[in-house]
Amino acid sequence: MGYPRGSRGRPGASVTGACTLIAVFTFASLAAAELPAPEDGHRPLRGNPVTAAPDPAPPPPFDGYVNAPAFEVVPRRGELKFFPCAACHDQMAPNPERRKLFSPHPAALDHGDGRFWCLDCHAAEGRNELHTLAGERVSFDRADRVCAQCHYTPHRDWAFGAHGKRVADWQGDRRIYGCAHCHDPHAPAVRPRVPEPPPPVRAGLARPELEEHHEVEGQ
Amino acid sequence: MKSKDSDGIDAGRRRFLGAAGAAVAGGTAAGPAWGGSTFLDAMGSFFQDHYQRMSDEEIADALDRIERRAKRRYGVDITCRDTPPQEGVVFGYALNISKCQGYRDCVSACVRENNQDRGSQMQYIRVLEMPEGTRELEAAEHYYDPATVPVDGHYYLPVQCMQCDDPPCVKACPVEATWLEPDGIVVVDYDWCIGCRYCMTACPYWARHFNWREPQLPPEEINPDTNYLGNRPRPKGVVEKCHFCTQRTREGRQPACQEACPTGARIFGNLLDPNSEIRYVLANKPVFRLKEELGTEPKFWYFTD
Repeated sequence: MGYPRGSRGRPGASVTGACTLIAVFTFASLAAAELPAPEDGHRPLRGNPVTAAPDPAPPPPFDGYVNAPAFEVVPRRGELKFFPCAACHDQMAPNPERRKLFSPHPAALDHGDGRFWCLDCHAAEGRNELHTLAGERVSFDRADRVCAQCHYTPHRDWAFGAHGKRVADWQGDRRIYGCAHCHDPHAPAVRPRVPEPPPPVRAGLARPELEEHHEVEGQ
Repeated sequence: MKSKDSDGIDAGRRRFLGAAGAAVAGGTAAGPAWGGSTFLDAMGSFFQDHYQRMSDEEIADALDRIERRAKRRYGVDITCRDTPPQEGVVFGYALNISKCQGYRDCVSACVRENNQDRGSQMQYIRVLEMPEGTRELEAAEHYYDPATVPVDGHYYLPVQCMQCDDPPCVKACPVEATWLEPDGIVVVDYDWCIGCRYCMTACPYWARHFNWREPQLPPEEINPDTNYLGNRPRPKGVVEKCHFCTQRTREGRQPACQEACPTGARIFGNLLDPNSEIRYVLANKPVFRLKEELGTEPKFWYFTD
C-alpha cells in the first residue's frame, strides 16, 4: 500500500486516509452480507418488488397543493360587468357551434392561438359558472382552477406566493388576487404601457447625452 | 415674477425674523414660528436626545413637536407614532425581474407615501433599465422615458435600500444616527443626523439620499399617517432612505411599493416565518442579490420565473 499521490511530507494524512479506506471496506462488506449478492453485480429485474396496479377509479378532484399556505382569493364576480350571465342565457338555447360572437362578448379570443372557444371554459349549462375539462364546475371567483389545467407551473407558484399579488397585509390572513384580476382571460398578453415620469434631473446637472439626444430629435 | 422657490425662501426668512422678534419679546408660545416652530419647540428640539436614548416621555414629547410643526408648516393634522418592531420578525424583500415592466408605479407610490420632495431627485426607488443579457450596472439607464415600456431588448431592475444585515452605512456614520433595527430595517434618526453624507459614500447601492432642501410638497398631498423612524416630515440637510415603510409594515401592512406594483413582481414578508411567501421564493426560485460579493448581506433578493 503506497502513499496517495500529493501527500508528500505528511505521513499523518496518509495514515488517516488508510483508516478511512479500511472503515469503508468493512462497512461495504457488512452491507453486502445483508443482500443476496448476484454474481455479476446486478439484480434481475424480476427480483424487484412489483409496484401496485394503477387504481382504475378516476383521480380525486384537485384540492390544492400539499403544504401550500392557506389563502383566500379576492372574489371577482362582483366586478364582472355582465354578471350573472344566466340573466340572458337562460332565455336562449345553448348553441355549441364555433362562431364569432357579438357584443357584449369579446369580439376576438386572443388566447391559445385559436385552440379554444367559449365553451371550453364557460359551462354551457349553468352559465354563471366555468367548468374544467374533467367537467368539474368552477365559480368565477376560483377561475384559477380552469387556468391551472394548462398553466400549472404559474398556478403552483401562485398558490405558494411566488406569483401573483398578496393584497393589503403581509401578516395575518393571506388574501391574494385570482388570475383574472391581472390577466384578461380573453387577451392575456401584457400590453406595453406608458411609464411614470423619470426622476427629475437637478438644476445644473442636466445630462449632456440626453440634451444632445433631444437636440437631434428637434432638428 | 418670482418663482415658487424664492417665495419659499422669503417666507422662511420672514419666519426667522419674526421668531427672532418673538424671542426678544419674551418667547410667547403662540407667537410667530421659529423655522416653522415655536420658540419652546425649537428649544425642545435642540435638547432632544438620540432616539435610542430617549425615555418614553421624551419620545412622546418629540412626536408632539413633530405634529405641531407639521400643523404650523403645512396646516395639516398629521399623526406621528413610534411603532416598535415586532417580535420574531425580520423583513425581507424579493423582486421578480421577469415580471417587472418598468412602469415606475412603485416609485410614485413611494414618493406619495413617504412625503418626499416633489421636485428633487429624492426618490428611494430607482428603476434601472438594463440591456438584456447583462447585469453590468454601468450599462443601466434610470432616466429612461420611452412612449411605452417595456422596451424591446431591455429588462428592468428596481434598486432601493437593500436593508443590509451588515450595513456599511451604519459603520460609516460618525454620530450613530443610523442603525439596524431588530426587525432588519436600517433606519435614520433625522433629528440626530448631522448631514455629513459619509453613509451615502459607504452605500454600494446608491440607496441613501440627501435633502438639499426642505422637502417641498403640496399640503393636500401630505400623507398624515407618519412614523418617527419612517415618513415624518424631514428637515433640510439630512440623509434619508427607504425604511420598508415602517409606518405600514410594522402594523402588518404591505409597503407602498408592493401595494402599487400592478405586476405582482414585489414580494415582501417575514424571513423568520417558514411559511411566508418570501421563504418559498428563496427556497424554490433562482435568486440573486446585487453586489453580493461585498459581503453586506442584503435582505433584498431578485429572482426570475
